[in-house]
Amino acid sequence: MTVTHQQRAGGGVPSAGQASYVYAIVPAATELVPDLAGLDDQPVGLIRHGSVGAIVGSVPSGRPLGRRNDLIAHMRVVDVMATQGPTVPVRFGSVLTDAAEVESDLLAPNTSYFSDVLAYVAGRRQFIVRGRYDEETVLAEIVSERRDIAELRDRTRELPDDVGLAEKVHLGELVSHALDAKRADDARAVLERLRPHAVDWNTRASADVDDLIHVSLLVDDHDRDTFEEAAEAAATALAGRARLRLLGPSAAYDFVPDV
Amino acid sequence: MTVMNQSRGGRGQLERPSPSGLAEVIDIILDKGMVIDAYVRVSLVGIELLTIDARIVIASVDTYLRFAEATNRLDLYEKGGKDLTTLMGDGAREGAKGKTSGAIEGIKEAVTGGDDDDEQPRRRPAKATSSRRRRSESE
Repeated sequence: MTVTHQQRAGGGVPSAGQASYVYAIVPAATELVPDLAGLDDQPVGLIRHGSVGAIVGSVPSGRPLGRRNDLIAHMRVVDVMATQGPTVPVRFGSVLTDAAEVESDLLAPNTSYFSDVLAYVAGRRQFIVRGRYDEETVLAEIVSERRDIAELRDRTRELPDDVGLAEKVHLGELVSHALDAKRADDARAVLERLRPHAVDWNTRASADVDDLIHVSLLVDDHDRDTFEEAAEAAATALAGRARLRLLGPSAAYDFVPDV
Repeated sequence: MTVMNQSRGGRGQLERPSPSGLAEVIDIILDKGMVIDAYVRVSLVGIELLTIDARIVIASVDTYLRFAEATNRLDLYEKGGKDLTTLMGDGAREGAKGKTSGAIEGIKEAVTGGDDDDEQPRRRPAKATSSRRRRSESE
């Protein structure tokens, strides 16, 4: 079995001391993109089972993964495959022992499930919309809208650094909560513009304090133009207060369930 | 920021960066995609630390203090009695921009280690000492 599939898979099939890195699940009929390089600039291969296949590459066993170039290579392979056809991204860092195991442990037990997920993402791509506030503008809004904050600000702003610490912390806390409330309103408004043009959406937990919204959306290819227009309109509506950034189209990283 | 928007040309306010910066790549793929029941071996040097860091930083007193600082530095009334409406306009904001130290940018710097390379390169080394250490570890 191993031999058969190594022959079929061509490049990217591990030899001794090597493991199989899995990038994505694709339909078995997928054509590999010539010269597509994965981790360590190694070629990628396709291991097929029934109607599905796995895009794999070779990595040395025990090689730690997570450097900048590793992340970029992973994304490059997945996104290039997504331009070719339905592609289910596999989480970064997924490694199996060898090609035989990719077929026996990954593809064979999940063939019909993978087919279903591939059908779901077919003709659809993911976009990420991320909004970030303009700090000065939004803080100025908060000061103008909240008398208590304005007063506390007036009281504390001339104080030396080490004086009135408790009041300053309180001011910051009020501002932080006011920003949370503002964020909830603005995020809802952005989402209301985008949602009608998307099949599905997931908001992401935002790590940065100036985040307004961080949402990924699954968009049908034939709705892409109207979706992008809606994103542009949302950006225009926020102009001066926040910047909106659109990433994509990419593979449907956020819309694939776990095995 | 305003300048950045203008220099993007073309279609206006929406930014469409090519996802080649590390920040975008992390944004898109990290912890995303199908988890397979396999021998998953991930060693994300530095990155997990940064993610954890973010949650801590956001809830901390230090964050509140930075918000307070930024709020207090806002130049609302000093500039010849400009009212808030004027300040909100692009021109006035650009004027204020240069002298206002950004709490949010500072915190973000602490969280991301400044890897967000499409952002304006405002660096705030004095305030990000703990993150700076992590940043060097992650490189």
